[in-house]
Amino acid sequence: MAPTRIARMYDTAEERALRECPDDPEAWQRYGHRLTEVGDARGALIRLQQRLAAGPPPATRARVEREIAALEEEHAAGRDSAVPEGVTVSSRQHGFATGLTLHWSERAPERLAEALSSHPLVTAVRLSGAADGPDGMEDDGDEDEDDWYDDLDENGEPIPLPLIEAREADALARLDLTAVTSLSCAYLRIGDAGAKALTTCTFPDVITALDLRYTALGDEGLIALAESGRFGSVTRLHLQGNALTAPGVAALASFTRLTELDLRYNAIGEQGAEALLAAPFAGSLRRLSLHRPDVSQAGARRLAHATELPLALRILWRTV
Amino acid sequence: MSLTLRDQFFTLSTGEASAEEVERYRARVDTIETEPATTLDGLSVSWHPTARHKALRFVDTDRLDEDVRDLFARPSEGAPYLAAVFVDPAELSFRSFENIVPLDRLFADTALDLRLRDARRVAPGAHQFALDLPDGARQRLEGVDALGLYVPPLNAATRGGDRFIFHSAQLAEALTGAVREALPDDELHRFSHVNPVFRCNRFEPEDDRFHRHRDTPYYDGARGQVSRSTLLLYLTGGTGEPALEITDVAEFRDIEAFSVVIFDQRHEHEGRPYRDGRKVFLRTELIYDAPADTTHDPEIGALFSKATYWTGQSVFAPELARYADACYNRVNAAHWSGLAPTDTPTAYAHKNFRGVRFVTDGHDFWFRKRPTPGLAECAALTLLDYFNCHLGGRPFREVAATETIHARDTAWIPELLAERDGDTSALSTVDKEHFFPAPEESNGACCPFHEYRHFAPARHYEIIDLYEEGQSFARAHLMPAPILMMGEEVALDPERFVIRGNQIHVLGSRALAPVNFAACWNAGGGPLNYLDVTATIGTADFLVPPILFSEHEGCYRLQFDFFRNNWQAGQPSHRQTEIPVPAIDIDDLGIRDEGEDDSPWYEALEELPEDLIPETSRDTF
Repeated sequence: MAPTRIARMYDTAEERALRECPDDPEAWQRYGHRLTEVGDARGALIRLQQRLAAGPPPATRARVEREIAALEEEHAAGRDSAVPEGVTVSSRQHGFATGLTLHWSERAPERLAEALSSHPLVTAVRLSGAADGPDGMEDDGDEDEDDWYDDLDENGEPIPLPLIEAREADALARLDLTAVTSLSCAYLRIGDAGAKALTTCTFPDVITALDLRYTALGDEGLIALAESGRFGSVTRLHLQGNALTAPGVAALASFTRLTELDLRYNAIGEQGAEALLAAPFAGSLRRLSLHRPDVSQAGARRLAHATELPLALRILWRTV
Repeated sequence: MSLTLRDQFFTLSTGEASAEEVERYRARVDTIETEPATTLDGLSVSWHPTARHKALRFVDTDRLDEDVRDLFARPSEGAPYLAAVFVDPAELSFRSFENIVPLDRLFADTALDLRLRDARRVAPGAHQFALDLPDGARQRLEGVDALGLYVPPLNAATRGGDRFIFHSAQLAEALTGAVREALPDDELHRFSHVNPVFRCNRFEPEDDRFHRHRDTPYYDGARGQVSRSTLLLYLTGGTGEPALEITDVAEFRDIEAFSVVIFDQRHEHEGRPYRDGRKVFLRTELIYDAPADTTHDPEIGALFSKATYWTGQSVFAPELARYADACYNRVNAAHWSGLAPTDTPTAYAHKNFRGVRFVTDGHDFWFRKRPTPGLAECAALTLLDYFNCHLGGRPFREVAATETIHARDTAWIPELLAERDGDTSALSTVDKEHFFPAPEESNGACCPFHEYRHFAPARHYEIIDLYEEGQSFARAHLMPAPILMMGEEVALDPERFVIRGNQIHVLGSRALAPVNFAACWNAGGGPLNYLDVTATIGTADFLVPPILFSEHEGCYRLQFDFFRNNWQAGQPSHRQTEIPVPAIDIDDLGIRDEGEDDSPWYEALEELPEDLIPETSRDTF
């Protein structure tokens, strides 16, 4: 009978190795051995799941699947018991949480710290807004015709959607993202103030994926992120649906290691396209998401013949 | 102006115009560079001659795009349902170089009660008959000559006279019945039917003879059928010197109108014009079920592959027509007596496509072995050349520079490629996922009316559904395509070229599934108004047998035997399509400028061939 205890180890070499290479099967194997040594049943789960992935003979396969199911059933109920309120597990490997979603509030930094302490393999964190209503706005579900006018100012112009509150933005600065390599604030309207707060939170320069889509980010916020010099490891950057223009794009030059960039739904124009091509990463991009209206017809023409871009990206612009 | 140009072509085609008039007309056509009106079977077609579109073909009018159909002339009074289209000879490949005119309607309301009488066995496997037929049928057949459908044959260098090819299932069926009654039983063993594809030939007394040749046997591997005999139906009578000679078997000096000659296809034969009038006859074949033990010599397949390849090449180099014809004749002879050795040097095309050089004889393709192009790229270039695919509107064989070399062996090829081939890559690779950014998460918003300026189209659940549907459609066509055309650039998907052992398998396409949805929209148009086309990508899809490859003296030698293993039957071998890729347009309220399409995505879908359009319709909304 396999051991059933769940042991807690504290920042072992095996855990650090997995945070660096979460998809390395040998690192998982070593971690499984370590867990088994300390009597943690999940060591057996890792071993069984790796055996299943290797494609065992049909007769063996059924037995392995049964053993996995039994172990998972035994431990499923308790595995997220240590997740604080406002935090959900968004991804797992071998039953271990590797990604968390954090409902953003003033108390969120403390909740994240608590969650990370009990889930040492988490490397991806997403900060999310309210689930109900557009872009995190509360929706009372009792709208009448007059509500429509509430969205306009005294000049009849639409009132911008609210950002997260100032104290919530300030709370971003308290985040401890020491172990995080993928950070997403997608659809959370942190605005420029929130972006500035992010530059002061605790994290080493190891974030490789940064998702700031639809965050009400403007040039000022992006420039602040860039000038902080703390995002030099980012290779994947999502910025779609913001209010970025050419100066913001020019600031991207300090994201020197970018290989994937999504700038759709930002009216960066031809100047933005030029700024993009001037960036040191232009020749290393593997994926660049932009639409013709984002860069204007002239910008699209420029990109179609831009020797600064890899040929595989350049020729995509010859079809638009 | 173009209408005049169109009609003048047919006026001048009557042969009554002076040489000066014809020359003036040709010079004028050479200055016309208008865009083609539509496409048909992958060929761009124009309703009048242009500098590019000079080859006349006849097609069923119903197959033309309805919007431009009326522009095309219908010059045949006897077959008014046929439209005259002009195609670019450079676009023709072996699949399309023959224009088979659909004449099924010609005999639709005519009793075709045919009977072969007065049988005369002129030699073993050679018979002559008189054809009995009702007056109506006789008039229709006599009228075939007057339909005005003759177009110059591509191998005009080896034959005299005029010719056109037509399809008539009804005429074939009637002849099948007559043949069954007339031929001796031992020649009807495994007989299936008369081929419904007829060649109508016309010779005037002053025309050159049709040089000694064997007819190309019909072979349908899928049905397991072959042709064994040629059937000639003479629509006019006369005297020739001789009118028909079946080599070492029989000569026919005097031929009566509506007489029929059937002879074994293994015999060579030669035709000469009548000295006393126009000679018009139809040629087709008797089709038999092939014996189960029928074997196919790969060398014969290779030679046939070369013959068809060089027929396509001869459009650009007329002197090659005779070489292609010689290949056909060797193939035809080989079907009966095995492949005979020849002293004739083999023709090779040395091609340069954007710095990548290769040599081909139409069956084997040699590339210098280097990191780029790798095998996948070599296979892609082989297919692009063999099928003469379009790159940015221009056929491959026009884009690639070609030099013809005649040689008796292949020893010179590695040296030539080593000396002349560079280090460039002609094709790019493309990350197809680039076309399909993941949809955004829905924000639960209702519609532009309720959200006014805060409406974010890319986050609206209905637009996301529509976007996903569009992506699903585009994915279904782009992901399986081994080759993509982006403007004049060619990109290949290496994953669609699977190398196993000494074979390169080129993977093809699959089906797609549409998605439906519905909603409430009080303002800001509807979801359709927000879906735009971000790019239009050309795809080249192939249904081809594995390409064999080997390495020799620093070269890859790829062997593309398209005619082996029955791959040519039934389904189209390759297809090029322009696939739109969707994007969400976040412009205000989905309102577009005057002159722009309100629903560009669906407008783009409507431009596609019918079988590609997803089932979802505008009615859904």
